Amino acid sequence: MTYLVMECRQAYAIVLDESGRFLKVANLGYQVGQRVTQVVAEEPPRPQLRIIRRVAAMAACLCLVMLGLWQLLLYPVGTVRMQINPDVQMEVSRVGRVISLAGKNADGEVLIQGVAYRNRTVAAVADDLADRAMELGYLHTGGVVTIAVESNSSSWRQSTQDKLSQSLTRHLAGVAEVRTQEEDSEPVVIPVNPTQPPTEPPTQPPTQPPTEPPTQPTSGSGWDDWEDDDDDGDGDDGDDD
Amino acid sequence: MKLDHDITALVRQAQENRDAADQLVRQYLPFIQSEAGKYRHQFPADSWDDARSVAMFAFYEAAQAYDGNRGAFLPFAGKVIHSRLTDYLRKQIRHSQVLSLDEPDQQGRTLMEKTDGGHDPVALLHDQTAAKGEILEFTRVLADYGLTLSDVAENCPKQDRTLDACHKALAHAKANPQLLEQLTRTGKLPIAPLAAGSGVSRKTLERHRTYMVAILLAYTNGFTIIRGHLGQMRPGIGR
Repeated sequence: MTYLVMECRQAYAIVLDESGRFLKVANLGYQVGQRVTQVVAEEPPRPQLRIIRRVAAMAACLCLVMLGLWQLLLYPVGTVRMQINPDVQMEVSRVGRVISLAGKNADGEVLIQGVAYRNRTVAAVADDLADRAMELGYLHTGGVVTIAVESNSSSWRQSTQDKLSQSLTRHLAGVAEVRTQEEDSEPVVIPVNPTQPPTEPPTQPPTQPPTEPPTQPTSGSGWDDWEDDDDDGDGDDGDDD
Repeated sequence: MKLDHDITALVRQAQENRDAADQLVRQYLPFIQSEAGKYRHQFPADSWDDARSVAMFAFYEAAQAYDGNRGAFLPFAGKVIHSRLTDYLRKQIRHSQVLSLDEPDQQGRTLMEKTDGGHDPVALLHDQTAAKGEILEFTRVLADYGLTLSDVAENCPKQDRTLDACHKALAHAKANPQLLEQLTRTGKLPIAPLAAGSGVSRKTLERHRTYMVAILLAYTNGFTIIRGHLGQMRPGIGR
């Protein structure tokens, strides 16, 4: 393409190309009437690109917000395990919403059937699980529910454990006891009758060794008490008393 | 703060007036050369003058595009200069395969001798002088219509489709000389008959009125050199 230099200014020149375009270009020492083959043309303002950039920036901000919401609502930050006899586990988000629910044993699989959990608070789901456990006979009056909370965030773990323990205790008040994993480190006898206090576990092992079981006689039928001198069975031991 | 205000006022004047734009560039030549000097080591010595011209052009572009609500002018101009010089440097690197015109080959012939197309530098100078005279006359005729070449360049269609539409209207005007006569007689572009006869929308012709006046004027008087240059336009339009 050949350009005819039409006008020269301090910082630019105007050229006419062979297809009839008038262009502003850098004045690389041109003179009017000169023909050149390479030019540095002006870049026109692109308002569309500015709009596209603004929309892209807004979309990026929206993506960040969505990512933050996802982190809060849908990303599991810890687990809550409920052990009655059925053993169930919930994955929980940062704001305490249940993301998943799974049975950790066969009874647990039965217990979670039909329990709604998605996006519900862990306290509400735990209450429902406890109610269902009582309906199905897994949890009786005086029973114990153990909860264990795990997370990489110790503050979240402690906060969730405290809140859930309090909530479940209120829900099961007068029916069952709620223990956390730390409290449940010693074995506890689960009372059947709520009026009978739980017995204390033995503190010392028994001192007497267990007696050996008696051995079978080697001859005759039945017992033969070697201390019994009534060998003929007439009630007389043969001694002159 | 006052300095910023002064520069902003100068830039606004430069956006409205070509002479003010030239004055602004001259006034800030030290700034332009300072900004360009940051890239001096990246350019070969023989292209450094062109690089400085590119920097001046970038400063002019920055002045035309500057919006006073979006910060100070000089930092903005610095960024535009940086961007322009970076692009120019990339193009220079892409086209940097330089062959010596004077190095002889095995037969003892130089590239200059082999590629010499027989151009006469005196004839070239004569052509340039003639072209300059015609262009100055063309500029004067445009001024009679209240137009400058800058106005024409700014109003020139950017998209090929629109440019073709304008040239279609030009072809119709050439085929109907009374339309060109009407332009020179009334000083106004006959948009209605041009649109009706060429099939180009009135909206397109009105949007590019300044360009249409310039391109039609190039075919009204003896602007043979300019018409001869337009050889790459659509067939039947260039000459």
